[in-house]
Amino acid sequence: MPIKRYFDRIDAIEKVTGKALYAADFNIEGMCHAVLVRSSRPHARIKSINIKEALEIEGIVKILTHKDIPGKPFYGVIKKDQPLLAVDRVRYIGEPILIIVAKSEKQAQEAAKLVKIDYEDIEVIANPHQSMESLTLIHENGNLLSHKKVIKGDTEKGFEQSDVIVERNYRTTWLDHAFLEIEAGFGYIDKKGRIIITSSTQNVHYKRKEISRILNISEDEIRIVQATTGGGFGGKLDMTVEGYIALAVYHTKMPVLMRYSREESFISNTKRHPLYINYKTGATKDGKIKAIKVDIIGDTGPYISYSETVCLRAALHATGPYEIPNVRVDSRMFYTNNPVCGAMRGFGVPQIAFAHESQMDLIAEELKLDPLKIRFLNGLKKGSLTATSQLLEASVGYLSTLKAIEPYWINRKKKEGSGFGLGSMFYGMGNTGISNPSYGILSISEEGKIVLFTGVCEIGQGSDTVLVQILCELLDIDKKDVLLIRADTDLTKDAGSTSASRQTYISGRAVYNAALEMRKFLENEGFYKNRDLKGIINRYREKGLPVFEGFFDPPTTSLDPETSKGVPYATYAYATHMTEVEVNSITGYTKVIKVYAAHDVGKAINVKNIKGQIYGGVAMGIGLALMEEYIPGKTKSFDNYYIPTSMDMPEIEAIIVEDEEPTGPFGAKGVGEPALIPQAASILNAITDATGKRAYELPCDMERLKEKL
Amino acid sequence: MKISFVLNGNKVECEIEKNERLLYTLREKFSIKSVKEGCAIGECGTCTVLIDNEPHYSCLTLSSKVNGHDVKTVEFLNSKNGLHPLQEAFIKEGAVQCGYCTPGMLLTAYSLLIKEKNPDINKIKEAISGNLCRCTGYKQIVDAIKAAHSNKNWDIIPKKQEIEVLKKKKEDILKALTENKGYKVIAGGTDLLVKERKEERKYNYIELSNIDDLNMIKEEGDRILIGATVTHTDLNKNEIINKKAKSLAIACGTIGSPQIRNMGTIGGNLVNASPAADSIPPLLIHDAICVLESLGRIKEIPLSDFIVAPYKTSIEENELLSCIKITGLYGYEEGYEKVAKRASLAIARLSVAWAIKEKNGIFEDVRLSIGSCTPMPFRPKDMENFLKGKKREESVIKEAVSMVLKGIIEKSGMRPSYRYKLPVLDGLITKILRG
Repeated sequence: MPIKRYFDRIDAIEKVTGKALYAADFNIEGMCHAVLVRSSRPHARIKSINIKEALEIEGIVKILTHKDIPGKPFYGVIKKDQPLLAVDRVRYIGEPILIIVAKSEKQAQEAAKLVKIDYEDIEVIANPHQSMESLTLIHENGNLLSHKKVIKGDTEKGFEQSDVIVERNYRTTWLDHAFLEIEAGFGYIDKKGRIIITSSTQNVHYKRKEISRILNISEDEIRIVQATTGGGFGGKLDMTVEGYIALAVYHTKMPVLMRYSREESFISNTKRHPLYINYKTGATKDGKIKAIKVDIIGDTGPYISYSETVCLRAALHATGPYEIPNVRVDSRMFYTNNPVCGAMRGFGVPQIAFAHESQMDLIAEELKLDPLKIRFLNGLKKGSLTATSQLLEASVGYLSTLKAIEPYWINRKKKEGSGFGLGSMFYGMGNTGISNPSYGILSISEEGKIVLFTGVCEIGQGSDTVLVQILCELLDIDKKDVLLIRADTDLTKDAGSTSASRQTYISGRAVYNAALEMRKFLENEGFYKNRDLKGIINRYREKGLPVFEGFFDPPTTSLDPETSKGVPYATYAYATHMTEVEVNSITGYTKVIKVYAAHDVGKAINVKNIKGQIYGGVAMGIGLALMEEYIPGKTKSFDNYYIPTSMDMPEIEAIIVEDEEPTGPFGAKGVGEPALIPQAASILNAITDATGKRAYELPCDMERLKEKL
Repeated sequence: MKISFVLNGNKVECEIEKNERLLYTLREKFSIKSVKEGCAIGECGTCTVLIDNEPHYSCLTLSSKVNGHDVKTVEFLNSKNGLHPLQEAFIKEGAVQCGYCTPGMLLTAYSLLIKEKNPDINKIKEAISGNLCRCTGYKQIVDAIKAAHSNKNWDIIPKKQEIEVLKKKKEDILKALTENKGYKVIAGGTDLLVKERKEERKYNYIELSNIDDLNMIKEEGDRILIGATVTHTDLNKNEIINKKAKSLAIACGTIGSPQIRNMGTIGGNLVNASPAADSIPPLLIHDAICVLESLGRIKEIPLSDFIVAPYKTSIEENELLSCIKITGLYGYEEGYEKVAKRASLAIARLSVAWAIKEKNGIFEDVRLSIGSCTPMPFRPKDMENFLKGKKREESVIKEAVSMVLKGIIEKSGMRPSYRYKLPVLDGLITKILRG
């Protein structure tokens, strides 16, 4: 079905005029401000807390501790292991201990400084290797959080059949999402006594569940509404300010605003996991990969957050977009006293892509094969079996992304100091091996608008626009005829998180399904003859207008706990990037000159949005490859956490490849995370091409690279 | 105190507290929420506003500084007849994603387009290099700015409205400094206001804006006089500086971001005395002299003596650094190399300023200055003397470079960072001396 692919963002006008209100922009009469007192220690027992002086500050309304939590004191998206407020022990620097509520933010901050906490330090587990061996346990049940395995065929045999074997160790570090809007939210009690919270978030329904547990009140008593959200990248999936606001509102009965400072955001936000990867690849002389054996060790920090997902996703994607007959992956996550690691754009896959793409180039080098050729030789295609023995039946556009890059690769011209590199990836759409449904609900308003109710959080990626676009396309209406009600727990059904590149694919399909139903209704009512919606409304005044509910849950299966055999994802996105870099041999500084990025998106619904995702992903990939590094205890703010500026950006050519996914809306899949995943890998391969030296640690900044030159 | 200024075309007045910052004033006193806090230390650009049509970080601007000036926020672009062509271009090109950087980005773009009729892509990228965006990779933003320029529907340069305010005089400052020892002189604030936040303290500022005799660049004989409140942007663009102290012009063009360069001053940079300050190496090769004034007394002291330790100068509490005198260099090849982890908004990991006079393959005079390496930027005088009259050839260059490196180790011992810095310096100085 052909679609109009150009459609301006529906939220752009309020954003360019400065009228869009983000959570910290709200101001309610009589509003209080809440701040957190956080741990200054990475691992310690709390011996005593003295709030006497803090209470004397003018304007203090309340100081809350874990004892003030009426319900369950622990939260967590996968397991409830993280204390909302520390009980008697802290496990990372920045762990919240107290909430101070005051008339003004300044008063609350002043009081926070006066709180005296007496700690007794415990051995600090600084890395996963120490965690494995230490007798100090971060949690009672041991320091190993999770061990996921992917097993297919017989790796030993595969290596025996191989003519070349390459084994290397790779290392990545902590990264911060560095969304520009800092975490914030506000809450109040409405006239009916319900708690209303508006926040910067990627998931309203999950947060309502958590608050219901924390406050021990029914979900009906809570309403969470998403404010305009200034970027998430996975960092606003976990609870941030919401739980604290809820508790403060519950106890004070007053409106409360909480916003983190950038420094707090850095210290408290979940990070991208540092992974230590040992990767062994075996291939035959003609370039066929016969076996891989991969060991992944991750530093998860002291709490789970999304770490089990990251652990599993990294393992499931360890092959890269290649069909490999013999696979053994062991992925383990260990608790440490470093920052809590969680979801960040790609859930561990950008890290593992750095490893598998370096391995592909190393094998190609050993065999004197062209890097593009070896990818063609092994690439997934229709009929391939993945590492979980999933048969790929449709929408496998990997080879098409290689074909799209091929002319640029063949015509590349190396200059003094320059180099070219490839990076490929595949990425499963949606949550891993579990049901992750979404709904789209349509009705007609009294004013004659088509109303779309969706639980999807728009965080900047463009879901509002794409969902409305899908609706307009199917109903043949204009966006001004649509009223969008979004991400409000009172008015919408749970659409799942804005994560895992799933919203266009899953919620898009749910809206698509609802729109098909509505279309039938409108056709029957003669709407397409006279476009008279008001007439239909009048005719249905008595019996009420029908509501159309669309639903979609991608078909997946649960995975075998020993081998991960199964269907973790209904479909995958594929991509190949080619990057040209210039390396300054004196300083070790790498400049990215040009990027070609080919993405199989299934079907492009909104070309501008897709390209925007790709350009943004390239930027984040440049950060991951060359400059971003969160150093616990040292990184405080943007002055020592560098993300790319406009001047760090290369020319980018985004190439859209379409291999339609039958279950997606119009054939669409997702692109949010895929846009980032292969970028760092392609830069690292380009650096090797330029210098003859290979880096195994990210970021490959000028100092690390200079050491190799 | 009470300030009055022009806000989006209207004259406004308001009462401000001590040390109040413009970001706070605009958000809390005028309810302009389009001005966002993203870091509060001048590293992200979401709080960008235009002051006299130039982008500034409002988080590092004392509100007292805009007294009498023209301030614009994105609301200025919102006309009654719909969107401004620049806003339309942002929508059309897909330059908006999460929208948090958008108001600041639009203002920076607007400021560029009222000055430059047809900016190329590199100019646009440079102009917005002080506004971070985490979503877009900047591509569609650059495209939008390019498209907006070609839109012929607007080329009206807004009138810069000014309000008469009482101009301060240098003497008033000197008097105040004599009377009250607790004052901290602030001239830009891009370092001090960050320090204030990091140290969680409040200074008692005395502010140097709106003082004409501190804001000048002029020639006096073979000397160039630079007033303490001259901004990095001014130095980067000034004709005299570009002609006679090119390395200083280049170095000032690499400081922070466009906003930082519009705000930060040469005087502030020197008194802050960071080992990584970009302006210091070129000033050293121009034999800079600091003019320190106190009531009834003027003292001149070479820059190399003025800075006594990292972040420490010999300035007395009652003194004001009013002016810097430098020697213009004629017939020299000049330059400045900055080694930093990213292309904008970066601190120098290492820097070298140089001026070389050569005739027929013979070094007549070589001046070199190295920053971000030793506790204070310095000139390797032994190497400079060694090169006088020497042939420009490999063996000479090699010896010169090894003198510099040896000198550094003698000066500050073998530091861990030298593992990186010394080989880089070796390469850089060799390249510079080869020409």
